[in-house]
Amino acid sequence: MKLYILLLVFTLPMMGCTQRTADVSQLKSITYTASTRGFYLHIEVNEENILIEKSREDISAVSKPMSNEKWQHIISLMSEFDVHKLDSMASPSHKSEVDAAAIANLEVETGNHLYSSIFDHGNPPQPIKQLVEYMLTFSESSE
Amino acid sequence: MVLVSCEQDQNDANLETTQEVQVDMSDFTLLVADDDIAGKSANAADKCHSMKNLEYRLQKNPGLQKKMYDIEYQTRKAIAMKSTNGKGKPGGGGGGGTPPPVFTGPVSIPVVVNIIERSSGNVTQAQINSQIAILNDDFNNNNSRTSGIPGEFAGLVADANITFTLSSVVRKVDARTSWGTNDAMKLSSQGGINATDSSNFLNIWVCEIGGGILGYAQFPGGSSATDGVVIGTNYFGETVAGGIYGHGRTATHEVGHWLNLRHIWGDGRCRQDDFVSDTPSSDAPNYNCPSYPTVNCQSADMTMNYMDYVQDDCMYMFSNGQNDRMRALFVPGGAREGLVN
Repeated sequence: MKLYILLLVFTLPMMGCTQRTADVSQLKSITYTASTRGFYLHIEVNEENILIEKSREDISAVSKPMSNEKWQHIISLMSEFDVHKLDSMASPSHKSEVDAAAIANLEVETGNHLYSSIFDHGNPPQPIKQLVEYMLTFSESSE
Repeated sequence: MVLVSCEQDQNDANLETTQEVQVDMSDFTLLVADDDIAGKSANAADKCHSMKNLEYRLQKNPGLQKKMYDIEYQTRKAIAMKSTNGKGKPGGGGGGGTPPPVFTGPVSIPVVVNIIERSSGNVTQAQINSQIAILNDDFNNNNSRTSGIPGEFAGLVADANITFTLSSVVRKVDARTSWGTNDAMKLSSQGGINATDSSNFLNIWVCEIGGGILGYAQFPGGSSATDGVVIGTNYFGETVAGGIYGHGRTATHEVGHWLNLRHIWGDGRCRQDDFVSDTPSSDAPNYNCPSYPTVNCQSADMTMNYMDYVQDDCMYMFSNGQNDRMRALFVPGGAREGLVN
């Protein structure tokens, strides 16, 4: 019995850890969208491409190749937080409720899951701050 | 104090409830425009977590959050009482002298327009007048597009019976092209124009906001120094430069917030509500000009509601439930009672 408990104590956290890394290693794409009535920004990255849209009508879509170095950096930023907690991450501010900020949505697609978090554009929850800021650099360099 | 823990919060709400109506505050988390802390998750544990944050916040800024909670509580109580009375509950509120739970008469709101323009006269009197006229159309069910409403929503259109009158215009010249959304335009100490008596006037600031923001508002219960709405110069009244947002509906939407209305999709996923019973549940804003039916959360969205994010020409109604929410502010003791006298 004791052995069982010991086994459980050791394997449970390890299982969680395995699942977590498994999800990151199966990372398919990350999408950041910031939107309000007069503003739209859509950044989508995967292992091959970076797609930037600055209009809801897609007229200004820009696509460029993703470098291995950048993709690896994204993977490393993904390991800074637990992607399973993305859906329940509390937004640190609520300015979009009175239109004082665009609504931001970060979506992470892995092998078999889609995780997402909604917050004010310009003020992401602390755990995903670095990833969001890095995502935003793609849109700046495309101007 | 009220907000000590989730359970206590709940108990207090029940204690204060009159014999006739039950007020459920369990889904309400306190929200303010700037640096607020309340999470909006439907998850009970998260709510409790945000209430703990709230204690911290209350210490930092006592009164503000409590005020918003009280306004929400009074609003829900009023609406619950109104529906109870409407059903003709025996013995309920029939006696003379009981004030109606929501204000029933016409409302006239005097408006101060604070203009910060890059050159003198940039915002014309005609532009100001057009904005006042649009507000009056929309808050008196006089928008010509409302006749095209789908049958599903036709019975829900409200005549809010609120009239706006231009009281005064305050002008200031400033070259800034991006005032942002941190209220600098409302404070002379930051180069803006101070509010005029915000308990008796609607203050509208007109300036270049920047960042793609067309306008923004403040809910009732916030600081009186920043109470009012801000509209970007190109989106104020009828303008050519505003394009699909050049027909004055940004102000209608912001004044809706200023009168305690939430976004129609509830600023979250399907289960997160706008605290209005006759608006359908939705999980995101609609943009541009959606066709009917646009189905989300298993029902057609009320995309033509002023509190959605569609373009100006495609929004043309407040619902009866939204009207009740707004009118609950004007009763004696209500957050905007000063505006009806």
